[in-house]
Amino acid sequence: MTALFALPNPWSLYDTAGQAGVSRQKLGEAAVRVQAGGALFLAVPEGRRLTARGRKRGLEREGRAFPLPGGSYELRMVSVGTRPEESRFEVAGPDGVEGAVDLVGHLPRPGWTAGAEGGAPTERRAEALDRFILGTIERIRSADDPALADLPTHWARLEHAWSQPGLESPDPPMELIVRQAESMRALLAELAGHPRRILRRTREQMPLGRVQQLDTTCIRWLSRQPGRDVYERAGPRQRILAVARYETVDTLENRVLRAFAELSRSVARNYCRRYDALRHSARWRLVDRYAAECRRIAKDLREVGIGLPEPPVIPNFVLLQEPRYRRVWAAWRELLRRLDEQDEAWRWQHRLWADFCRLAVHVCLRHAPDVETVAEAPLRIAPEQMRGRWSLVDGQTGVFLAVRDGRRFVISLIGDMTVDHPKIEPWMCSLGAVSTLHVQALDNAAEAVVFVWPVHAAGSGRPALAEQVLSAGRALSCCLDQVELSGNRPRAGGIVLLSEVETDDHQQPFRDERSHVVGLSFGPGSAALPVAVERLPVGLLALIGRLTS
Amino acid sequence: MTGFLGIDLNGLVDGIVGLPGQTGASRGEIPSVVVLPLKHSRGPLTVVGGAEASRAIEGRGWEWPASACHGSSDQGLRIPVPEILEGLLRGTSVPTLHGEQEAADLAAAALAALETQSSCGMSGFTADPVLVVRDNGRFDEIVQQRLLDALARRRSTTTLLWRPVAALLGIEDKLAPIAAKLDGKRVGIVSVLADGIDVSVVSLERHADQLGAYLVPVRDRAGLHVPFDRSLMECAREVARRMLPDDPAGGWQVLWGNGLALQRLVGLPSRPQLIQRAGRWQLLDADAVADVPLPDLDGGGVAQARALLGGIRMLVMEGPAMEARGPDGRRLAHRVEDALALGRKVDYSGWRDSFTAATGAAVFAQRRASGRHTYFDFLPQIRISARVDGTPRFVALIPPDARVEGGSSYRPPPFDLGLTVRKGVERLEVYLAREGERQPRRAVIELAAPPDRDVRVRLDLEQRPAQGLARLTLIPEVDGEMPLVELDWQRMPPDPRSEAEIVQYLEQAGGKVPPLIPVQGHWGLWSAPLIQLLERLGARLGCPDQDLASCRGELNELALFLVRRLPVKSTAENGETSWRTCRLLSTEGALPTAGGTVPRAAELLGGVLEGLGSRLLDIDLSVPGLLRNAIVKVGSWTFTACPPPVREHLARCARRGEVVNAMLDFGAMGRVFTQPEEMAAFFRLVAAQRELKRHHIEASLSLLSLRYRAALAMESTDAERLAAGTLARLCEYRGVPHRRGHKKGSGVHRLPRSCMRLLAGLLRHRLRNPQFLVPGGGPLADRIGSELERIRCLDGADRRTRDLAAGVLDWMLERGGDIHILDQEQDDDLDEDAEAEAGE
Repeated sequence: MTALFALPNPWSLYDTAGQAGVSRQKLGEAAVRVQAGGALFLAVPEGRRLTARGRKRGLEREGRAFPLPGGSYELRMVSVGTRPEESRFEVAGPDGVEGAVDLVGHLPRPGWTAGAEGGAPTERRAEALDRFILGTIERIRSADDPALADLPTHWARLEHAWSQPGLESPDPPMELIVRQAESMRALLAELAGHPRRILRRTREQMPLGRVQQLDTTCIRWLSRQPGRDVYERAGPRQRILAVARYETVDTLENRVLRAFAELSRSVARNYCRRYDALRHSARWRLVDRYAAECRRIAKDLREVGIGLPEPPVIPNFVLLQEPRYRRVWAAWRELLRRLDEQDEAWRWQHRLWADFCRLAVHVCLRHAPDVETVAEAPLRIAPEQMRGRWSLVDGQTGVFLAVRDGRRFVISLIGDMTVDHPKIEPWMCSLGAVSTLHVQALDNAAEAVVFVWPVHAAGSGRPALAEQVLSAGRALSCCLDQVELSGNRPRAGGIVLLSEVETDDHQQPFRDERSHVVGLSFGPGSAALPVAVERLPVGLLALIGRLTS
Repeated sequence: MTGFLGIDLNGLVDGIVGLPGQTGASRGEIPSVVVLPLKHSRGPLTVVGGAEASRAIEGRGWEWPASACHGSSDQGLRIPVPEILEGLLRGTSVPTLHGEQEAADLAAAALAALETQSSCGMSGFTADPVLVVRDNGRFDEIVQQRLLDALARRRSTTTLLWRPVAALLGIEDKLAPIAAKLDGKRVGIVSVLADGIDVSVVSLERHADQLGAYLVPVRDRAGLHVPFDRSLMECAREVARRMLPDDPAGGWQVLWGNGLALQRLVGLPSRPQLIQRAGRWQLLDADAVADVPLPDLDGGGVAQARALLGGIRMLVMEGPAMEARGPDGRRLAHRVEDALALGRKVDYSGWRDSFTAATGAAVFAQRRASGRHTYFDFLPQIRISARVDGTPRFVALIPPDARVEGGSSYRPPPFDLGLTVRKGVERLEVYLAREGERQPRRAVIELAAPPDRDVRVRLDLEQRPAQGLARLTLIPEVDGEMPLVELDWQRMPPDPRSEAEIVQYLEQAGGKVPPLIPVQGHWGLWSAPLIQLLERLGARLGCPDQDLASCRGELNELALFLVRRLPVKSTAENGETSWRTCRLLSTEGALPTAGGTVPRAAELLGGVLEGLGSRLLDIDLSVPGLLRNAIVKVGSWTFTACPPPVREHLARCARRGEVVNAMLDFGAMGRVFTQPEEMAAFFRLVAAQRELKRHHIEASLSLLSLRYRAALAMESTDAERLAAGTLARLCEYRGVPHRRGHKKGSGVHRLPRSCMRLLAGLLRHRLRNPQFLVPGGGPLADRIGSELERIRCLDGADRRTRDLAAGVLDWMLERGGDIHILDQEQDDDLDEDAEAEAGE
């Protein structure tokens, strides 16, 4: 059976140095210990049916297939676990378990299930990751910002939004829970004060004098009783089966109301905890108050005998048509969907960072003063994430004309490696880059490629940029050596883009002279991003100049 | 946020402006293209437009990546907007990689793309976008409707706005300080576009609201188009050819790929001059190309434009091509100004960068939302075929001075044209004519459920200026009596006939009554003996010495000529041949129009009739006698050319109820009378007869079949008495038992046939009284119906008589039928009788 490899970094297939944090490891009978530093990939034979046991939607194919001595392989990214017990997973094929991975430094998502108060220990790093994910998504979605509608294309909007140094907002970000805290408070209080009541009908034995209504079942029952008239049939206790009506509030719509109040409370508490540093802002206080109100309302509803809805919840007429309950139903659904989205974003945060880097390279190039945009494919932002990915672009996102030291280069940015492109050769896919820049110098017609590797640490540790760059350099050299065996040695370099989850994560740019790999750390923060947008093209053009000289 | 979006899709430099806040925010980029996705499975095609499209990689004509292939070929991914606009005007489709796409649909897709792009995919722009359309006569309602339909299929609610109006609204800030001076004045607008200039004149009115005074354009006529001798696109092609002389594919790249050629022509700062040839990148030196001369205006069009622009207070020039520069460095706008030579200061506020038209479109949306007046527009005329006082004609639905505010609909109260849908009618036939359309259109509407009683209907009209076709609906006066019938112009096939021909047709077969049978004259009957006779008679009548009585022989001879008939074969356009009868003179008393003319005919005949007329002054026609008979015969067989004394005599007879020679005079009256009072008197006289004789019947039929107003002049009581009298004679008919050797055409069948033809002729009285002889409407109608039914099945009747009965029944039941039913000449033996009558 062909071997499976666990790759702590996208390029690690060629890094056989044996360093636990960065080099490849072969899966076998014993569980493999991998540092939860960057994105975890598996190199698996193409088309092999594999699942990551213990992970929901665990594996996602990245890039196209490539040849290895053992056959045709492909890379699959492993999702990040949201729960504490997901630090270990098993890779299972149709014939059974083919290997297991133990993640060192696995971080569960803070408050990973709604309502499970204090279930998992929350850590400061996990909170920061949560903020980082939300910030990254917000940055990507600024391409659809109506405030920037006067800019002609989505790329232009991204460039504008990312290159302007913004001020640190005194308020925590506007999230769904804030909007709901503003819009739903009065409605919740009103509904909780007077929940909708119905008369529930049941059949029970009643004294003859109190019978008000009989239905066919009751009459059928009565006809089966012995006796000549009703009084005889009513027996010695003088009771017959009749319809009794009781008022009740335990209806589906009120159960949904209670579920909504409890979910809102939990989400609001999480929000307040996440942005605890901004507790003096009006927005934080609003959400905090809302959490307290929701808690009280949920308790009140529980006490009057309203239960929780049992899934699947199929909305009844009241939830769909009654104006007030319809709003509750819509808000509950929206909140659940948002939670699901956030869970999903956590699970695929590596793909999110890769998507961000894919856009960032394009934005940096079109922003650079020495670079002119010749053509760029239209960018679309998906309304919902696709396993962490938001951008919808063609394989090639742009063509740029760059000038450096009097030399002109045409840079073709191939943003999506999953799409066929004549300038992408199969061996390039084995390096796991998210984007590739194809460069042609106009003076000597020299061609080169530059790989873009996003690195994001979802675990508790912070990877060192220098170590990552050196590992990538080693892998690139090794790969080029192998390619050289079958022909010319291509000109290739790489750029490692390391995520800054917190401001403390910032590291100085690092350059590996030997292998043409440079590294840069940046994040979506309003301070770091504009600087990176200025700095990235400088490093990139210098690298291109060296590669094509 | 409420935003207002104005779009100017002109194919050269498209403009998109959002208000408020984005005034002048340009989205126009060269080249103006739309880009199709490389992969498209099914469903409506989504395209990319605007700046995104002109920068896109798709269809650039490069060798890689895959999406950049499919460049200059016919089946491309990158479609120039000018091609789409041309296709939209012509209603054709555009070839693309994903098959032929309807041009209107592509235009709608491009607009939808621009709209989405501008609103960032959010619900930022809540108001409908407004698209600027050219006012040069080509973007007519059909084209508008085509585009609006395509937009509706994409659920877009774009409104259309005329370009000159948009241009004026776009510079409203500039006009505001001089609003008082411009109130009531006319302003000319010249839009300089790629293929020529559009010239319009619009008046301005000053209105005021709480926010202050503002100007409202009033469009009261359509603009005109003056083409360039070659369009700017052709000039750009020339630039491309000069850049890459030996490489058409490369030329396509610089034209539509990155638009270098157009950018250079229009004077925009150009993007990197990079193209891909043979898989390698290559830089172009655009500056090395010599300038291409700019186009000139068409001379004839310039004169028209100058005439249109006479009497204006101010001229505004705008348009995307204004800034194109030729080798001499002069801008195209200035060249246009020189060509128009108005000697008037021109307002150049509409330079390309200001996107005046797009701004104006956004201003229009803003004004509409705030309840201000936007502009006033005139409406193109619509005419529908209808019967007014029994006469079919085309009725204009829009009053000539009607004006309506832009964006609102013109909806007058439903027209009462006196239209009635008869009981049991299964289909309606309607003709519509529109201003600006060469051919009228015809609709045959099948009624799902024929009404069970007569339904009066009204016509409801709704029209929005510049927003496509008018909606015409037939609505019953009482709700629910009949389903609504919508007249959809686009689904109505064009009718090759002219309006006059349609009216004529409606008068005949299309009507509910049998048509008239006018008889034409033919030169073939004008023989040499006739000319000699006329010469002789003219000479004798002209000589005062000659006694009139001595001319009696010649008069009788002339009468024989006048009565003579000539069957003429005619071939219709569809190849059908038919025979019609001609006489010496037409029943209008006119000389023939068919056949070879005979010289001096009019002169000779005129001389005879004039001479006769002058000689009659001293003759009392009320005295019986052979001379009198001859005079009446000659006079009456000239139909309306009858000498006035004869006619006055006959009219007097009719009024007094005394005829001199019953056999002759009734027939003469039937040929001669044209005035309503004469005809009314005639019918009164006939109806008063105790028993209708054959000459009464045939004379009445003659009058009804010749004169349109005869049936209208007839009093209802007379009509009923006449019908009853005719019925009485018809009831006598028993036919002839079939037996061998019975002479064909025996006079036995003649009277009943005439009776039945007269009944058909009396149906023309429905023009005055629609209920006349309607089956089920009274005992008389029922008796006539059953009598006709009897004859239709009568064994003793010959086939033609039976067919005639069936034909009259058809007309009675309003099923239409034989349009020659009133033609009594179809009865063979009549000819002999007429000649006999003339010879008496």
